[in-house]
Amino acid sequence: MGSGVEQMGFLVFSLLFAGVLYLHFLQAHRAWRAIRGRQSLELDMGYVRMENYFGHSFRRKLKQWLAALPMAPGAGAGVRVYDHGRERIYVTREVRYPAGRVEREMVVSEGVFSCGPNCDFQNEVMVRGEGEVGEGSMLQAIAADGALRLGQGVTVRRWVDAAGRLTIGADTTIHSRATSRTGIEFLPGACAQSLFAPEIVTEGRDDQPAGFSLRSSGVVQIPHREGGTGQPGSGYDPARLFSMGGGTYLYEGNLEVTAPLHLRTPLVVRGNFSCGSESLLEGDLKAYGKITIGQGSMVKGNLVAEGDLLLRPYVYFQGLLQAGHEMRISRGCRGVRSGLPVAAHATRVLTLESNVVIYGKVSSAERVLAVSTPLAWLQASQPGAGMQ
Amino acid sequence: MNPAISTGGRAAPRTSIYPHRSVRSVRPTRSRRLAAWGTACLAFGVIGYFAVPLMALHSALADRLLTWTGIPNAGWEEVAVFPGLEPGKAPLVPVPAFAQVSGKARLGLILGMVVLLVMTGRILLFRNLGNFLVVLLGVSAVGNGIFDTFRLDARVFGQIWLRQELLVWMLMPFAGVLLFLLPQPRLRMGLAWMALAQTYGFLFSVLRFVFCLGMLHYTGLLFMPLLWFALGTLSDLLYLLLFFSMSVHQASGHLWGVRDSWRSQP
Amino acid sequence: MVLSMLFLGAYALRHYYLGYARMRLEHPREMNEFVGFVMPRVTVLVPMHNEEKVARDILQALVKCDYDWELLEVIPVNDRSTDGTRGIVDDFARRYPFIKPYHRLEGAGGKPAALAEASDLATGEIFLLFDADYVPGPAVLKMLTAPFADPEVGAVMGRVVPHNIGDSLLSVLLSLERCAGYQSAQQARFNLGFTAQFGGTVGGVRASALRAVGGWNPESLTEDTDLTMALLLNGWRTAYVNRAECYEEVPRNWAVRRRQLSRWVMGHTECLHNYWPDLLQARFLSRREKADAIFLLGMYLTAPLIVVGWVASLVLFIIPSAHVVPVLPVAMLVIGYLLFSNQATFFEIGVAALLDGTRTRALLMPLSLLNFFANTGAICHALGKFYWQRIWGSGGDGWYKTHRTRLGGEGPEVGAGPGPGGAARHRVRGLYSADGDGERG
Repeated sequence: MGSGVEQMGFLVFSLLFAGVLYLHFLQAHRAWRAIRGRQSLELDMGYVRMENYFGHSFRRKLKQWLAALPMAPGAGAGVRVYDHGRERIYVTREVRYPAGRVEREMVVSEGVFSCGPNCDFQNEVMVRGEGEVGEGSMLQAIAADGALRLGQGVTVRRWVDAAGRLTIGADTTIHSRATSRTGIEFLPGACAQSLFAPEIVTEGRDDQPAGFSLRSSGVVQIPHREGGTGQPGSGYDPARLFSMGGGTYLYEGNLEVTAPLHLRTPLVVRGNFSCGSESLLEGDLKAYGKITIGQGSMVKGNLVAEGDLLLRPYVYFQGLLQAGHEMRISRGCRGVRSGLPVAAHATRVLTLESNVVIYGKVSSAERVLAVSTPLAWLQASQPGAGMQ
Repeated sequence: MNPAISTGGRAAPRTSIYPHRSVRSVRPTRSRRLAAWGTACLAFGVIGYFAVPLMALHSALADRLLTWTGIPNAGWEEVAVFPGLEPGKAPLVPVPAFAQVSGKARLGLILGMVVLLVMTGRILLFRNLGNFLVVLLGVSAVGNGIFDTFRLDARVFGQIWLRQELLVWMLMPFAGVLLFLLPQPRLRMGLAWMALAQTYGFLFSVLRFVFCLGMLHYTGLLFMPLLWFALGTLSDLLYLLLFFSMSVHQASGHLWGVRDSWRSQP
Repeated sequence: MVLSMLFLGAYALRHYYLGYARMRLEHPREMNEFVGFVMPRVTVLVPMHNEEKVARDILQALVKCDYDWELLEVIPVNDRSTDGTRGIVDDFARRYPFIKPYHRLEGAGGKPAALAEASDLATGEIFLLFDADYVPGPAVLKMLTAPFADPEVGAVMGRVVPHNIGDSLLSVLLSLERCAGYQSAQQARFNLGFTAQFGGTVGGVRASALRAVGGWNPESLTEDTDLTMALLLNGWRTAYVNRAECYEEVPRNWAVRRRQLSRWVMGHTECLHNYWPDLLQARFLSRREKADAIFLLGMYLTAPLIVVGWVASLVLFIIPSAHVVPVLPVAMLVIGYLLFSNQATFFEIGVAALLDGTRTRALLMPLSLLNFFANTGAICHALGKFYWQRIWGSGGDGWYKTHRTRLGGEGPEVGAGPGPGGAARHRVRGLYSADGDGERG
């Protein structure tokens, strides 16, 4: 078919066409040549999770920069200046900024750091001593080796890390993590993405001891005692309790117990869960819906709610709390356990009322917020007042 | 509040402090999603509306290529593509019956099978695909030998081709939404990739069509099962994958640029 | 043909749904915030059969982990090794009291059987598992235990990341496949409330849950999938921790890959046959959870249907009666199916590469078509073998250990961390770093 010239034309076209087909693989071929013989380096094989990762990483970098960068000429008395790419690092013995000062460069104070109201630090601040930030000021991020006090209405665009005590003033906003090696005081209206410290307290701390003992009668037992039948009542239906094996139970539907509850094993509730005041939860608990823990209860296990999680006043918890939506830790609640810190995490807003003390961490994918407890609540909510 | 993307302040956020290598998510906004699907629907409508001119352009380009490559064509005949749509044009390239196929073409088939067998022996990853292609060639040879009267003329082939490719052009914007418009951090880049893929798909279709016509003319139906398999929707998948891979490469560079610059610092 | 299209179409939709959901990170389930706050007593089980090339690496990596040694027990399960594995394991046991080797000298072969025996000796509340060629980073143990704060979690799965990407084209294409499977599909399924798939390595299981479902199934070729389903039927879930990453070695040649794939296909399909009636009747699973579990188990059945689709398309092409002018919507459906269904798995790969930032590897997607064809053929072959054995009752394949090619010390190194001499210093690694010293990575 066809003359030799015609066939030659098609042959040339075929070769060109084969070339076009190869072009579809050219990038892949080049990529393969770049990868061939290599090992993947994508994992940070030495990574260890630390809660103050940001502060830690910043301190480490700063140390490297100050050791490696040449000092810039023309610095004033007592001030060393380092050029770091497009930015500069000012190192001084101590810093006291007047009100309204705008600072674009990175600041390192080798002593005390303080600033008046409404200052704006557009780069990181490192404080070797103690620090105080005036109300209404804005910061990029700040690390302090001593105590640090953020005044009212301060905004931190990223993180705060202090080796000493960290006070987060009322209405202050920290857009990322706040960590302290000593303790954090979190005043009403303040919010952060997460707080981590050996001790986190909100305003109005009241350290009167509140011992816990389970009532001797009228308590719903889950699972029912050996030999007992588990009578329905107080919102609990034993017929809906199933064993998953391994000592863990599953409850089908809502479990809303109005009486005190003694939960002795891990339990998964396929619905909402609530228990009466002064309950004792020894096993871990998960609910597909909302979890509400009655006032004055003792929670020894972990609580995991797919929905909201509410701790009513004066609940003691010794495990971890997780909420798929919002979490509210009411006034007088305590989170403490021996050996390890506790943690509470919510996907939405986590609210801390007054007189809350948590030894560990509170975090949220949105924000952790401190709120004042209304006076009327405070008066009516002494331990044992029975408020639900 | 991912600090890696926090803004404010003159300095770029120090994203390496974020302790993981992955980007947590790419979240197209609601307006982006609406814009993406709206664009796809619009493109679908436009291509549907201009289907006849597009097919005519496809035929005109194919005609030019047929002339350049010296593949004889007796003309173009109108063929029905879909009911309710004006007809497209299919070429009248002569196609030989099996008995008329030249010895060279038959030799080419045997050579093709040998090459494929050698490749499957040498490249294990290619083995399954290669074997499948060899089977296609073998079945084609046997089938042509047995059913010598079976003919697939260029007119019918052109009709099938137009029918398939028109649908690919119309549906491709929807593939573009998922592959380009939603994953791209910048909408304009997504639109650019989508337009590029669409245009390329059209031109590549002309090339494939002419190549198949040439093969039909010179080798009859011997290679057609293989070509239909390899140059049909599989080729559409191939170039979509090519553009998708390049767009991911580019988008990834955008998302990761800040991190890379940080890593290079002392 | 229509049934095949419906079946494959459903899988394609699932791929797009999972890929898109992962890209947007819909309903994230954050367990990372609890890393370091959940510290149960843990037993790490490391099955080893002739692993002298890699045994030292994993034991060294486990020693460097930041888990409290008083809460840690490592049991290297020396399963009838005939090489130097025993010597290496005993050497580590002499130096570290929490390493308690179990030398298995007889009994049925295979990982499930070895695990079943070793699990009886383990004292931990949680059993974590690593294959001998894996190298966990120092934080991985804490990351894998964190999800057990949830009492419903019976097992947990971490992410495996191939390190030998440059060994061969197959290795790098498999790395793309793994990337999609973990970063995209597993993460999305977990976030969307489906159970993740326990993979038998870089994962863990709650000891009480394991005992509740009767332990490891030594009859199964994929004891991990079998366990996932057994747990699910009893109300337990498998969590996925994307951040708990661990390097693995993927097959560098097709012969090894084909045998690996064959075992997975046969094991998976066997699980499908064993569990689908129970899954459909499961009291504690919603309809979408049931559907997801069946989809998961039936995924390898897509391969023969894809081949059927190709053949049908060719038959339609050469049959003159099929060339009649079709109805537009029907034709659009067929072409849409061809265009979108084959592309669905690549969408997941692209999303995962985008999130991981593996830019160069993303460019290999056109070549991954080769892997697609190779897998399709191998899966069809394995399914044929499975059903042949099922119908004619001939003996099935035994458990097959994936061939390792790494030489000792060739694997990825655990970057920093104290050496063996610093035991007291890192007995308890804090959650808070006081200064800039001792940085990692």
